[in-house]
Amino acid sequence: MSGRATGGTGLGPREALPPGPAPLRRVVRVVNPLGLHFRVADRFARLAKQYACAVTVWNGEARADGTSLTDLIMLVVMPDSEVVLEVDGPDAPHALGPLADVLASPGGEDYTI
Amino acid sequence: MEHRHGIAVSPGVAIGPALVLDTEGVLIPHRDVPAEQIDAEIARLHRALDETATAARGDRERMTAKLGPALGNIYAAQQSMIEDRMIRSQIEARIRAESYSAEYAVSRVIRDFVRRLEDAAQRLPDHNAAEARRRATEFIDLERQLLAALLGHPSNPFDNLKEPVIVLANDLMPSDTADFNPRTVRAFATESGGPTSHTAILAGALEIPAVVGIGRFRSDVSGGDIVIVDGEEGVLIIDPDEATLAKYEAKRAEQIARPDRNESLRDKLAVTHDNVRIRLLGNIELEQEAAHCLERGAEGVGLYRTEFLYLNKTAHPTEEEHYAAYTSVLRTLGPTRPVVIRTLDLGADKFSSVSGAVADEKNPFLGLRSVRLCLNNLDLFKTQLRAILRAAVHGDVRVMFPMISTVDELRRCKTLLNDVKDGLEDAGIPYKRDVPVGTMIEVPSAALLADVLAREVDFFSIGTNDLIQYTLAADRNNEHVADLYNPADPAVLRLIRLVVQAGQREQAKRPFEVNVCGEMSGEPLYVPLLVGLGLRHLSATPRKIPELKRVIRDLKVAEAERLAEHALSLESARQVSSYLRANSAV
Repeated sequence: MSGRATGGTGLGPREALPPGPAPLRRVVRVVNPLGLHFRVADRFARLAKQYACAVTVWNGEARADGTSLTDLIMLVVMPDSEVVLEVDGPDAPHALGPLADVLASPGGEDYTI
Repeated sequence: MEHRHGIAVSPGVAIGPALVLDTEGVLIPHRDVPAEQIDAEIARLHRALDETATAARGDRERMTAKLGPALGNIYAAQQSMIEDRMIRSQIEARIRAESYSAEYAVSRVIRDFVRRLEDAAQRLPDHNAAEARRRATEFIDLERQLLAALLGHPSNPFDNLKEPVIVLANDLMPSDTADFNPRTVRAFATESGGPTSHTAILAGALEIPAVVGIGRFRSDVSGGDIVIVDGEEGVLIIDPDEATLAKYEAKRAEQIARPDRNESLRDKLAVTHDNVRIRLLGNIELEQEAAHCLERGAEGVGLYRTEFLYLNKTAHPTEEEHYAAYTSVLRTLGPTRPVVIRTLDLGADKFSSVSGAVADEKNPFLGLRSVRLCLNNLDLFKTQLRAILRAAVHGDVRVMFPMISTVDELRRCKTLLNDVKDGLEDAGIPYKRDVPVGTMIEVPSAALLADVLAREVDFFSIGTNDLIQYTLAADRNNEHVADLYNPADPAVLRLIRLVVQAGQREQAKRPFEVNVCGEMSGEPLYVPLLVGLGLRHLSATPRKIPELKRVIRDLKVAEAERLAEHALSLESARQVSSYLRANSAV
């Protein structure tokens, strides 16, 4: 296992991107009673894959590739904690709102992909 | 390297590759592949991932059609995990970089996730820890599915073995251990279980080193990892370093070379110092253990458990299967050594597909088990009784009924035995009519009514394991109450005395024997106590016989009687234990 404090393999290529608009960040409170659990994380990763921008979720020092369900799970986000959603790329402004909504959704049980 | 401590239940040191059995019994046959096979191994991985993803997609579609998309989508997360490129690429990387087999790489990568979630759980408050652990189980489930896909679906985990393994499991069911033999299984270690669990008894019987009750360790180990089991110290070492490996290899070599210090007693009689003859008999479960009895100087078999004939079977054993097993034991023991065959004692803690068994009893230890199950399934019972009566022609067979709790039950068993004899008589099949009949005394009601039961039979055998558990209402395998389960409890001693006294009154009129066949009789500490209580027959796992003999030869009956008398006057198990230890030369 790597010594980095990341959720998983992380986002190696992101650092190599050419300079562009600065990444957008938003602090999101996870209120789901089970935290960022499998189904919410799955829904989030599926949505993240639909955008061209890089999607990262930070839980303190640890970060996860927003398109990887496993990486998101390994962040171990528990209820009532705050995470930072970071989107970086051309469609970032469009991605930020919908992705933040998934993270902040109170239920997440009744969803349709 | 990791050292874990548990309860030593069967001595010996073993070193070898781990076979991690989960409840599904999946194993990893080998951890490395030759360099030229790496591409093929990755292709296998992809096929397994695709197959598993397809299965998850199918589950999802089926459940969506049945229960709607909200519930169907529970399976979507499973599918996403399987398709997750991160897991995929990590497993691939392990195969390429380390020449791991696909199975081993899958296990290493996924166990890594599991371990990290479990580590996280330890830092979280209870309510969140439970959720983190639940997430870990999703990964374990994924591992199980991938391994099943890689290995081809349900197969006997021991079929693919290339070399003997050390079996690691949360717990082992008797059906798991049915296939164990010292050639394929060098040792085993389990997370749960206690010193008197069936797995422990079995390990002792097979003389396979074993440690139980270690606590969670399976996420720290993958199939194929080298592990060491020290069945004397009660230690499991995962991934030992060179120095540790060398140390234990030396210990193992020394053990093999060490002569049994009780060996010289083998051909001597078990007589006390003041010349009272004690009969030492063996408890066996498998046919091959009959030979262990003779090797260790037992005078016969005091308890032949027959449950193994029923385990791991899709159908009930036939009369011929029973007969073949019994005659095989009798061939080894010869025509004059006693062999006490106990009828089926399945139920509760032993898994079986025996028909008539109730799957979901709320309180199985107080439920339809053992002789109750047999009396509820007469065909099954009669088949066994016929085989016992037929086999009895070849030796000194005695039949014993387990878990008798009322005299009516015992009478029903005897009536049935007579019916079976009449059937054999009518059919002209050779059998032995005057087979001695005995009952186990392992329920407090039977101990209290021992004088009544004694009139019905030729011998008693006190099954201390169940007698203790039913007397103290404590499950010997439940860590929270296991300390209540104590052979030294004065309540247990009083019941044993009642049984012995009932037997002695019967002995005044006719030949009558009282035997003890629980774990208690195999403990040197309790031997003076049992002899002092008046017992003259002890039956224990064959491995224990030489040591018991040594204790007996140093014993004076008058002293043992004083010891027992004093023990009976004490108030608690703790007092009795300390008293026995203080007065023990063992």
